[in-house]
Amino acid sequence: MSELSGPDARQGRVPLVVRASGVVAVLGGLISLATAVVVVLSVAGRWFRGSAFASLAPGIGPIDGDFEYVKMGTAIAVFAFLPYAQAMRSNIVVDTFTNKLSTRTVDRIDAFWDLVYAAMMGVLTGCMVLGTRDFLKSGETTMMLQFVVWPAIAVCTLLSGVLTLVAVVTAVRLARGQA
Amino acid sequence: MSGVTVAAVGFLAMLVLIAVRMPVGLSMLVVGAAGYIHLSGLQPFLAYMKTNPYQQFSNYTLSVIPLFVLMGALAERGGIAGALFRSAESAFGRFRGGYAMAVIGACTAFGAICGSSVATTATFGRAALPELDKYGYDGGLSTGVIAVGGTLGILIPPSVILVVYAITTEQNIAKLFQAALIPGLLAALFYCIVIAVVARRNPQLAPVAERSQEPRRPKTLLPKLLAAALLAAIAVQFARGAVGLEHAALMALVPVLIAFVDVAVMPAILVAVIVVGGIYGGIFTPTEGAAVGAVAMLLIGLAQRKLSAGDILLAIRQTAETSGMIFIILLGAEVFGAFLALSHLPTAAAETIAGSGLSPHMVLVAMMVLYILLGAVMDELAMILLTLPVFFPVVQGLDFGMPPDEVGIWFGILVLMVVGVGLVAPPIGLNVFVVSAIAKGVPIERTYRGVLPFVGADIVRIALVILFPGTALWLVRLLA
Repeated sequence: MSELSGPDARQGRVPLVVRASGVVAVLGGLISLATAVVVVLSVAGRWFRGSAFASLAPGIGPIDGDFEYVKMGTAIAVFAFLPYAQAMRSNIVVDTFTNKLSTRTVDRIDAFWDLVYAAMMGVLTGCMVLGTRDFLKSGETTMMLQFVVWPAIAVCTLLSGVLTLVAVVTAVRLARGQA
Repeated sequence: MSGVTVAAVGFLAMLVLIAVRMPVGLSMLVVGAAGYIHLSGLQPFLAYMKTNPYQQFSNYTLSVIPLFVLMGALAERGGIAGALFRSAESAFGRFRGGYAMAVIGACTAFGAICGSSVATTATFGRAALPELDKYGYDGGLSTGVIAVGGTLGILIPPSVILVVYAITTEQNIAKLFQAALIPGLLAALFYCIVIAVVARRNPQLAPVAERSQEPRRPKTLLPKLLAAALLAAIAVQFARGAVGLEHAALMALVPVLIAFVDVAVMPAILVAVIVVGGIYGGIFTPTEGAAVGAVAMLLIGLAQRKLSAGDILLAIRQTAETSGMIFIILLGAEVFGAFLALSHLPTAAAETIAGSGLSPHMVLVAMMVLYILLGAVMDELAMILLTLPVFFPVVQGLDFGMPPDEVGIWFGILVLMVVGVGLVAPPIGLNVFVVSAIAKGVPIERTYRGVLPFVGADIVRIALVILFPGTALWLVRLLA
């Protein structure tokens, strides 16, 4: 397969921020895939229990609370994807009205918006830190599996902090004309 | 200022920000935050942001998006598209314009595996463009067909756009997937008709290849036998009265599919049928379907030795990039939507329009026209997330002589089709950019010209679905 799109097309001098967030993104993707495997096993178990062979192995059945793994896994995966999407600059921008400007000007504008993004995500991360603390104090658990909720929120908060950092780095790179 | 005025100012501010290159997701986030703070104060906003981002993303339904994207990316890396195209080639190749039709046919099948139009376009740009070139097809026709064929990625379920619609409007994903099938197949049929007409009027655009001298691959009879056996089984069930005519016709699609595809792509097609069919039949939830699809596609790729570890990593990174892009817009849309709800603009707009005496169909057509215009200058995903908080309550408040949940499903399909048009129509059209980046030798203007007749067919199809909601709702009612 030719690789006209995707990260490898731009390989050569891959900036550290892209590589690092790429690793985070792959970890998120593996979590997503792992939840998919849990769901598939659960579906298979449910199918087995409903089948004629159910009496052969009564222990086999759907995985209880599989949706709680999915919910937790999805949230973490999403937050793991965001820094990479920013590092790859794949966020959607409308350039209909600015496509006559020089590359340099466009880079400066984008650098500014990346700073705004970093500021916004900084505030959001701060809020999420407080949110994590609330959950830590209350010790809230999930309904079915009795998982403590706060560690998952803490991971997402951490990843949101990573996103803030990545946005700062992309802003600096753009302002310097390195992007 | 009243809430409605604040919301109007917010909309305007956001459009200006988007026009000066602020990323769409960020501008929704920033304007939504500013509006929220203006209407209810800083403290409530900060409290809202404490847990909302986690709550929003720890969502069972939302997991459908990365999983379907991953399924498509794995299929792409596993070379499914090329195999589908070769299989369609041998079925359509003998007709004038047949190779272009083969692209449409293969895109239709790939659309049942992949839920993204950009991915479908990029995949077929690589898999089919060199082939079309080899057969002497006109560059503009080839790129146009691939850009348009790419929209089948979202028009045929599963479809990421429909999942986003379902999440923002709280509609049933399974029903939306059901409703999309017939309009999606109609799209493929219309595209083939357009190709036939264009090729007939201008034969040098699509030369008919002389009988290929290559030795024909030995064909195995197995798929044909399997298909015949399945058809016979369905016929028997129908004759016994166990299934109705409509259900039997629906089931007959499966053996027909099996009879026409290559053995190499059979596993992928079967996965698509199981995933979409399982969601249709309520055998599993969309999340379960997406999980089964992603895992099965991985296993097929590994079993056929088409996926290396590098391919899998690449597919995961591609998934991260695409999903990340979608999720940041979803986050922005959530905050912006919360601001709009505080402003009461959606309810005010719904009441005003419902009380204005305008005919419901007039309002609907006006919305579609607005969508096509907006889609010409901005991204389609952002466009629907931006407008749905206002448009959806308005549509729900209108009387189309159908229950509100059916209107919700029907409107979703209309929005989906308009998004499809926006993806190919000038002056922007994401699919056209994607295919242009691959077809270096074809100027983008020629691709746009190649796309135009298909956009005409799209408009006809949208009009059909507006006039006859049954085209979308028939299957939903049948499977209910």
